[in-house]
Amino acid sequence: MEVVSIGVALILVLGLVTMFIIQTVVRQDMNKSGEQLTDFAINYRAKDLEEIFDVSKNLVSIIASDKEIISFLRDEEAKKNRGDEMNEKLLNYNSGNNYSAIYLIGKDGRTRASTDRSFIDQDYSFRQYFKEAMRGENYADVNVGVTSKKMGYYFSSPIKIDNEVVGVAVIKMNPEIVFSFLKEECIAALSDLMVVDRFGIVVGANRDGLIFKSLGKISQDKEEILATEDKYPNVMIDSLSYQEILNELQYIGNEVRDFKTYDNLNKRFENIIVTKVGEYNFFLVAKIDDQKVAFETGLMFRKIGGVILVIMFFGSVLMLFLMSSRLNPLEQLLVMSRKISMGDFDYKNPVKQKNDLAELGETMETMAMTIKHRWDELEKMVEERTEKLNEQAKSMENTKLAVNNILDDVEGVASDLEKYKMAVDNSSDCVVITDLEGVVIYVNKAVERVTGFSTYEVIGKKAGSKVLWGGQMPKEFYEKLWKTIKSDKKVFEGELNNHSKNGRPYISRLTISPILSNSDEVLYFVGVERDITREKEVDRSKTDFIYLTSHQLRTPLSAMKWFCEMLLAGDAGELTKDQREFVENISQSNERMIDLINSLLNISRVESGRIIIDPTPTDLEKLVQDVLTELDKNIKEKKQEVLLSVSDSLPRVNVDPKLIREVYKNLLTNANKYTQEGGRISVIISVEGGEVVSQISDNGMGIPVADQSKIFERFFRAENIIKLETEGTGLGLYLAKAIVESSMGKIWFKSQEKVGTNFWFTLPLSGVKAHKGQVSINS
Amino acid sequence: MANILVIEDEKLLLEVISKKLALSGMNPISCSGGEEALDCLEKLSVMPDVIWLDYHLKGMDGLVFLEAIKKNKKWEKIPVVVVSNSASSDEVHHMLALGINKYILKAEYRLDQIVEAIKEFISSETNNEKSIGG
Repeated sequence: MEVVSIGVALILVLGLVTMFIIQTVVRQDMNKSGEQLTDFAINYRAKDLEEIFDVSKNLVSIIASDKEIISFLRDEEAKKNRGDEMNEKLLNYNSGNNYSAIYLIGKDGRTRASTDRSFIDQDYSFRQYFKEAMRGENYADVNVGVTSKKMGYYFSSPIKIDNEVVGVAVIKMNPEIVFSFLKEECIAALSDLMVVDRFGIVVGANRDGLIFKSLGKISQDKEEILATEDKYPNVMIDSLSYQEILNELQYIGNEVRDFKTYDNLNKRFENIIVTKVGEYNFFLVAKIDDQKVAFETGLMFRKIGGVILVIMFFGSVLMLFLMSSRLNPLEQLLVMSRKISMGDFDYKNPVKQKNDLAELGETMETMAMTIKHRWDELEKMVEERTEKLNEQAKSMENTKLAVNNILDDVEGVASDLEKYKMAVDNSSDCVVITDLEGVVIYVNKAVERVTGFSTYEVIGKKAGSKVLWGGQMPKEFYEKLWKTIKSDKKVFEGELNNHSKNGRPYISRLTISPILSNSDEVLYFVGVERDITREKEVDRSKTDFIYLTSHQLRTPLSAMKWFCEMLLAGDAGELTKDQREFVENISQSNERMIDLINSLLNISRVESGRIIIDPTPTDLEKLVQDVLTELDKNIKEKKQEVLLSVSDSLPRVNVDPKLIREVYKNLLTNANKYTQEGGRISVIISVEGGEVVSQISDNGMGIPVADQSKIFERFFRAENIIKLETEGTGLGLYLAKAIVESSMGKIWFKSQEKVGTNFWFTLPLSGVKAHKGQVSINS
Repeated sequence: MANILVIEDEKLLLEVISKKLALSGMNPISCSGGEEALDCLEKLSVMPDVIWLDYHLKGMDGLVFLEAIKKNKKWEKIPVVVVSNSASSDEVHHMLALGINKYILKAEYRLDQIVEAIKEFISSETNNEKSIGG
């Protein structure tokens, strides 16, 4: 509805503006155009008046040409008695009572017939209208009737017979017709509107007071004519102050003449407009009052304004009405657009009429659908983007975390590098980095500590040369070293004798690694050297300890062994039964002790890696037979059945027989010990793949499941065998395993309590690598 | 009667060995160290038939003693049986290279076994002597 309000307001404003403009323009032009306007109006009034006169003029002409009237006048003598008849006839012409008299005058000037009977036989030959008609002209004049004493407008017309005027037809028009005509308000600005005759005497006016006043002073000759004509008998003619007009009157035609006269009475100028009424000898004189014009203009303006306002009002109403039929859909479309703008894209075209607004609505609907479609697409896209964004955010988060981690790492790396540098700098081992020619480019602190040469003294010199700490080894050693690291690009490991700056000899274990580029070119060498002099000493001490221990323990054990032997041999006299039993117990315990020492020594030897592995082609079958022979006494005691089965394809195997013998001995000893009397023991040696597999089986007491995982542990003895057999060191299987593994084989078992035990161990068919140790087993 | 020079730094062992050798019909000459043994050899008019040598000795050890007698023409042919608690392979090989006749690990053997091993070396020598002498 805003549109309507604005529309109405606009109309009002425009209306008011128009009014204002009109007022301004009218006011400005009123004096000029007011005059023109009144001139125009007066002209029209004159024409109107002329028409009124014409009616009478025509009527009198018709009467004059009436054949009956003509014949009446021709035969006037003969038909005197027809006078009444004619009077009646003339009355017929006065249908509207506009004429006070219609009468016919004979050529002698006497009235022959008349609607007013008092006119009959009256002589009107002095009248100008008679004189003129008799001359054959129509004529109009104003006179005050000599008979009736009343003023009238006389219209005369000649009655002709064969161009001879035989009489005159006259009608006396009621002056009220003219008066009322003049009183009709044509121009409000007119204060006075008058009709004056050819003498300038007012014969009709819009107000009564003006009648029979003359425009100015009537000249002498004119007064005489007036008297002769007896035009206005018994009338006092006053003069108006329009002398100038009166003087000009005879020159005034049908054009409008304006006069400005000074009104002495009212002390102001007056505008007078004068024009001739057609061909008649009458003039229309109008006095225009300027103020009245202005007032009337204002009035007119107000009237115009009122009209405009009314038009505006109706216009507004009309507009409202018209627009409402447009606005309702507009309103609906507005609602629609609002709805759409608020996201209701399914809003349908509300305009039901079939017009351009409906089209607009449809377009909007289509648009909304398009928007919705796009919106949906957009939403989908946004959803996808959001999802992606979330993923990205997540990945960003991850990245952030990663970056943080990396930053932490970088800090870590930095500190790690610092750590590594510190680690290398402060390593107890000497670290020496050299270029391709072995010229030192870096040494750590340990170098100075070990060699006595300061970093300053070392950098730029050839590592391990005689001027530094090296050069103590044979030429071949260094040749091999350089070949390994430079040509073969491999790590060199070795022990070498060095000497410090102050001449102290020491032993080094040296590792030199070539550092290679991506293209496998040697960039530089990193040497790590450890002073193992003390290690070597400790090693020797350990060896000494074993010697010492074995010697020191074996010496008293040997003494006990041999004294018992002598006692039992009767070297100190025959022993009683009890004495013999006791000495035998001592001897047995002594033997166990010797076994234990031997086992410990063997384990020590194997574990330390100091044991000599001296492989020789060995007949394993014979080896086992020897062990069985050694155990024969024990086996026979328990009446056990022994089976030895050796694969025909078994060759001699390159192993250390002393060590492998120990394995068979341990396994067979256990089989013998922990298998009941009459039990069965079997040894099967086969070749499988690249391995020699030895299987030692019994149907003895087996190993409890709970103990199976521990049987290779040092000093471990299973629950069931401890109860049965108090002897045993718990070192046999441990030693066997140590020997097998040092010979590059494997050992395992399967056992079920009270059913039996199977042990397997393997040896490489290709044989065992020699090991240059210091001690041999059982030595 | 065969003379056996027994070199053993462990007093108890020296005693039991000597007793066993005596009981086995031999004449043990007991020495508790290398230097003492070398002195004995210097003083002895008759060379011992076999030398029983403990390898690990206080003072002069068995190897040095062995080297010493192998350098002496009078003594170099006397059979030497090393009876010791232990010895590394290198040492054993070294000793064998120096001409010892047997290496016996003390705790592993009974006395009578060792005596039997010694008898193997003296019988022929004694026989030879007898034959030479006889």
